[in-house]
Amino acid sequence: MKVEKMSKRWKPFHGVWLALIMLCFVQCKDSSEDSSIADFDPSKPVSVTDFLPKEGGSGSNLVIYGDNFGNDLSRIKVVIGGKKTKVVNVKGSSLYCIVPSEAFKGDIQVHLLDEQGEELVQASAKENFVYVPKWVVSDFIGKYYEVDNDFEEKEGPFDDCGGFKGISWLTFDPLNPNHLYFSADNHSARKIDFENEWVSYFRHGFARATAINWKLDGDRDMIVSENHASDTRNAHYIFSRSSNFQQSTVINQGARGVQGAMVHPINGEFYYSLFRAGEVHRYDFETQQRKLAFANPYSSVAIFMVVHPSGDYAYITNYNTHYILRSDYDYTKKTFKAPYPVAGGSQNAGWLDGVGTNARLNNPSQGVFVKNPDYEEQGGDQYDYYFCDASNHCIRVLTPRGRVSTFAGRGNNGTSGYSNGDLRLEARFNMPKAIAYDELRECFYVGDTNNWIIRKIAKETPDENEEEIADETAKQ
Amino acid sequence: MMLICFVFLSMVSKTFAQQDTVQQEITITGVVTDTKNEPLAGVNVSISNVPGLGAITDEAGKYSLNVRRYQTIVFAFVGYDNVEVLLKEQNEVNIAMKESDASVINEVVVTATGNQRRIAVTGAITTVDVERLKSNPSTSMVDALAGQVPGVMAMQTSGRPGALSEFWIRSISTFGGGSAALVLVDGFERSINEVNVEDVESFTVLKDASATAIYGSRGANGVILINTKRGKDGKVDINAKTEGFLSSFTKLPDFVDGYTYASMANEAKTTRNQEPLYSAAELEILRLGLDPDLLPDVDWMDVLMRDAAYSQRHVLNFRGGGNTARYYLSGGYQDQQGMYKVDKALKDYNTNTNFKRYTYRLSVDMDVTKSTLIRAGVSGSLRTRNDPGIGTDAIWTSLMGYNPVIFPITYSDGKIPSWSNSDGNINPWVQGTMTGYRESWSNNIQTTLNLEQNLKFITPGLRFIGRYGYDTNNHNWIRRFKLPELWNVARFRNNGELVFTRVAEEKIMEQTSGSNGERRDFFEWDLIYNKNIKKHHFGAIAKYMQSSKVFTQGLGSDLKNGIARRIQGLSGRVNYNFDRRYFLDFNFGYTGSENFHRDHRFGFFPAFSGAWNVAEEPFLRDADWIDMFKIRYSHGRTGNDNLGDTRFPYLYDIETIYARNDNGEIIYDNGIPRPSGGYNFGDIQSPNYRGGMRYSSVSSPYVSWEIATKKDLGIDFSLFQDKFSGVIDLFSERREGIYMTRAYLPSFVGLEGNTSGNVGVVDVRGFDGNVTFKQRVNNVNLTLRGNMTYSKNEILERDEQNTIYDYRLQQGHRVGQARGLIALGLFKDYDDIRNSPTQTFGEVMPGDIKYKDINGDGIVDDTDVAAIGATVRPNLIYGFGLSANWKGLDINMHFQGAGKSSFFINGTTVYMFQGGPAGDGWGNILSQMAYGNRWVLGENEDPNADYPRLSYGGNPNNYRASTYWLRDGSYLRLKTLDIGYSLPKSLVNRIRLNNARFFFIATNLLTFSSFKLWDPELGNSDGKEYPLSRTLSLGLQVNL
Repeated sequence: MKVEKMSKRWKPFHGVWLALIMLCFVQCKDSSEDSSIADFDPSKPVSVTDFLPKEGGSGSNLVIYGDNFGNDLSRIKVVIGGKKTKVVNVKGSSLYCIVPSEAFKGDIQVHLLDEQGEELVQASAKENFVYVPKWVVSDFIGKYYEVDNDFEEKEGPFDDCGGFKGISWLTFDPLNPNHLYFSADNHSARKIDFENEWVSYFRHGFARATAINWKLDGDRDMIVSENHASDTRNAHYIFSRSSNFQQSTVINQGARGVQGAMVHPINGEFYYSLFRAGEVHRYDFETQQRKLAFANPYSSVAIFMVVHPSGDYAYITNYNTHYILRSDYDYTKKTFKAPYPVAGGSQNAGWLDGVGTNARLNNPSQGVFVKNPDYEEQGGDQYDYYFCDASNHCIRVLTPRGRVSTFAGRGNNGTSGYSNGDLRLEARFNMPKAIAYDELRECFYVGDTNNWIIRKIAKETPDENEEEIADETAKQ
Repeated sequence: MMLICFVFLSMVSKTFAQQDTVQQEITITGVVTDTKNEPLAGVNVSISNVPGLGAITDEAGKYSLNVRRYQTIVFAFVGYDNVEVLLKEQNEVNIAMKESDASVINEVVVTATGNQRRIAVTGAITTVDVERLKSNPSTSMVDALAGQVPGVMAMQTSGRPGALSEFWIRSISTFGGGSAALVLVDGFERSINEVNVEDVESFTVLKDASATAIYGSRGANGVILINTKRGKDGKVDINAKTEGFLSSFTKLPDFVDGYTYASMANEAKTTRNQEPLYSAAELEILRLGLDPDLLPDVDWMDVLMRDAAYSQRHVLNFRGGGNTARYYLSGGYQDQQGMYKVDKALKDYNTNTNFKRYTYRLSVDMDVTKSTLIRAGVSGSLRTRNDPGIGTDAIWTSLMGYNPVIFPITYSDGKIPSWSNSDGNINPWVQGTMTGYRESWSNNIQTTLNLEQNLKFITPGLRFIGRYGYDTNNHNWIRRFKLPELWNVARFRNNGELVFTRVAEEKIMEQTSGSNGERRDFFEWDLIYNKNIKKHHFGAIAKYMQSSKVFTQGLGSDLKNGIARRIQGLSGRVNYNFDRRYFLDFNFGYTGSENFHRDHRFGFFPAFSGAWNVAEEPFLRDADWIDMFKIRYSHGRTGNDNLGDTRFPYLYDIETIYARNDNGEIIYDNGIPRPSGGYNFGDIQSPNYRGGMRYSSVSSPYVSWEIATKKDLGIDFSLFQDKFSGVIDLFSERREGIYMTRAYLPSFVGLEGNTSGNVGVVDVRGFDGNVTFKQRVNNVNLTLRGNMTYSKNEILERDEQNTIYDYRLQQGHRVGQARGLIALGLFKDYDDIRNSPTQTFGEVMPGDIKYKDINGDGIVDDTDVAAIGATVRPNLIYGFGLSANWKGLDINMHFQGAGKSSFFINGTTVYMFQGGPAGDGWGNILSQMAYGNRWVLGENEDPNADYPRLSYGGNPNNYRASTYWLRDGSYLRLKTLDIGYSLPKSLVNRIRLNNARFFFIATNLLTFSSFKLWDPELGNSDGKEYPLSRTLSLGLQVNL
């Protein structure tokens, strides 16, 4: 400590050295700080000279060039296609704003305001921004938490319903397109009510709920499967529609490690996969008999199953071994046959678009069949299969001819994240595991599992909006 | 502090001139002249055995001194022989002083067995001119050795304050044991960094077997002997030196700006047929600076690095004594400041990296009887080091990773950005200023006690020297770490708003600490006998030594960690020369280390050497053009027992087997580890399971030291009245029994682990030498010096995997040889790709690197990896310099260079847009690469371009070790430029000073190298290292 004090006293002496040494070499340092951006000058006109890009959709970045924009964000307003836009920054002769949604007309106006927010002057661009409606990813429900610890789980309206952990399976009530359910493994399952814009708990009472299915006959009751690690315990429970899915009866059939399950859409029998055994079993509600349908090539894998709407085949997705198999239905024996690979390389994770087993997947999970009108002419299978590729953080498509491509996510060649916007240029997910298609609203809902929210993939349309759809369904 | 002492001393020195009251004092006067009767100014006139500063002669050589009758007056002047006069009745003493005879022949060389005249030396020994080492601004003498001392190779691999250079003697000739030279300070194994260069009396490098066989199993890597200054008869001699340094980086990696970065990122994507990374609008936003949050443009180097840092060094020492006792006392302080900017609001502590060193040294020589001398010395140091809490390594990792667009310094709402929460990924400004600080310090104390007894009462020429040393070294560190809340932001805005993710919680300052320490003691005795019978000169020395080192802290529970490492040895030397013409020398060491098995513990290491001094032959004795010409040869063996941390290789370890889960963690049942690998002695109903045991390491009982057989042929010469002198040595070494793990024993041997053995063989050949040319032109004394060390080693045997391709073996190549594919340039077009062997590292396009298919199997894969280039460590080190003196002005210039070195460049900056483990965007782009000759589609499709077609997110074909990324590490630099001006004697004598010299020293002023990305001397592959400094210093040196 003493040394410290002494050396302080001798600081002036050091200064002399420093000065002497500094004389030996001259160093020029240029200051690049520019504080020269002019304030808005009311005496001069405001003009919009150009903008970039010339076309785009909702959420696009737009740079507007001109003169005398000033530098105060609170004093500038930009309106595109009649919609007020978010201005991110303004610097005298240029500004940066975000194209609002539904700015179909595309005319650009820049307004300068006074301190009270009254308009002083405005200028318009000579040409119009070409607004292109496109498929975009957006938030649907759930709060995105910047800080993990802020997580809150609750029931509530769409705009205040907390976050959703562990989303693993999304399914619409086949009789009510306004009710969407999801299971969330060991977290709370939910019911999403579009009509009342309300999210409530769906209480099943299991430690881990995996698949949710719907019986074909009768009231179309709900079948919820529990994932447990006992060879003897029962796993499937039927929640009756008459009790508003609050009361259940058990299917007296032990099953261990059920991850996926499905109901055949024509004959109504129930299939479920066993994790440890690597088997798919068939259960007949009428005879109450269980038998082995087929063995999966691997045991100790999570197997998700989605059946084609026609009932002709089902996709058997091996989450842990990164590939999808297909099992054809034997209408005479009324059971699914041994499966064969159709997409991805078994035990070979990766992200590669391509045909069939040349493509690479990484933890594929839930998928959904969606009718593609383009196939009408050629006949045959009309459905594309959209599925979550969880560890690749994207949504993939498998066509009936076996081509795998990336539909949404990994914006800009990145991987995981949370970004909305253009499907492939901007959007990012974080371990999406569940997906459902809303035929009524023509959009997808994606359980973005590690972002704890549900995302929506939809095409902007200039003539309809969601409220109208909701009203329509309410009337039905 | 030094400064105050010095100023104080210079003030009081006048009042405390020599005085005594016992007897009547008289004032005597006189004139001191040289042999030509020219007056000598500045001669020290003092009274023998009386404390005080004495008097100094003026310009006319006159002095006056208060003295009593029958005292001895001593006249001393640099470059002249001392004159002593007993004052009787005279009142005036006039003296003519004779210039000392300082020719090469009389030079004294310090060797393992005491001082020898240079003429009698038969081994390869370099005596270092300590003055040459003093101009280095570094905290360690080692940094000054490269290019200054023939036979020493050194490399400064980090410029961080307090960082230590690595050095080795002649060549690295082992790949198994350690390659560090043995450093002996005052006879005992001590750290070279402990010693302040101002305290060094002599610095000697022992290179061949004849000089090092005495050290037996520790001598194979060469030996450095440092003797520190001791007291001297005569008036007190006070030296003070103070220096201020201004340092800046020699070469800081230079990165592109944000717009260039983004444009190149787009090019990297589009040239591979992918969507551009940044849209046109984003590029415009970046160019116009419209989004300082998502598309900023930050020069991270400028954010964290200062332009220059100020450091200082002060030294003060006293030396003096009388007939019965002599003393030397010195103290030094050095402060070396780093280049990180600090947060000026932070008052409580300093986050900049720095290094401070306090040293002291005290030694006393006492003549207890007429024939008994006791020498006692204590020295020590405190070395403290400061660093930002996260550490310098993490900072340089981030600086090379953070591109200008990646993050702003802070977001507009005040949040602090960071790539992730791992140390090397945090925003550099946060790392440098907001992570607390870590300090570490070493405090070391060395104690030495010598007893020298002249045994001439037994037989003339017999002497005994006993030495005892005791050192304690302690190292402690405290890390005070904190972290602000850190945020990452999504790549795109959501409705114009930033989307944040918190990557790290705020961490309030927390403290961790640690320490380690060691204790060493040494004991030695020498019995020395010299006898001359007419022209026959005999000498013999017997030496016993033992030493032990024990770690004192952090030993853990294993008992063997607490056992001292002991060495014991008996060695000796017999020498004979006839008429100082023919010299013969035999040295041996019989030494042992208890690290080895009883049967392999001791070894005998003999060496013999001879010399013929041609110049002393009668036919040349009268030739005045030849002063010395000596041919010498040595041959002998030494050993290397340094196995690093391996302790008792002959012991095996046994452990109990426990059941482990897939992650390798032990499974516990009710807190008790579950046994495994055993047998159930009960039945299924009532089990009685007993766990098993296994060897966790296998015993290697035959492991012993490595053996070096060294040969050395040298000449020492001095011609034309010492105008032209030099030493040249040719050497060769075969290192056998190199210690290594035997990893390729077939598994049917049934061992649970790998054994070790002495199996490797390395051959080394090379030369080193230096020449000096002195000339006086009018009033200017000119000296030209040059030295060079070159060596080449080759692995002759090594335990390695068998292969059908010889070129894949390390055998037949250098130790540490670079290996990679041989690049044939870039693919010209798709035809070129189709007509070339298939490359198996991924798809290739024109502009990607084309490799040679060495084994001709039609595909290029890892079997085509061959030895390319040389080694990272240079195989050639040279230096040359020029000194000139003119009156009070002296200039000294020293160039240093290295050659035969090559290193790969790689990492996140060199492999452009390779990205980090976390994904895209990691890695900055160097300007030299961006604006250099790189392959650009449609613009510059040059198959010989310096950099291949860009790719985003890595390119396994291009980004792998090959000649394409191999860089020549040779360089030549103006290492030091030293300009001094000594004030005229007439002026300094007036204030009772002997000498005052102002000096200006510049280091690393100029560098010539073909490698431009960062400092070539670092030998660094990815630039993630604190660069070396260019230092300008101004100082004052005073002697009184």
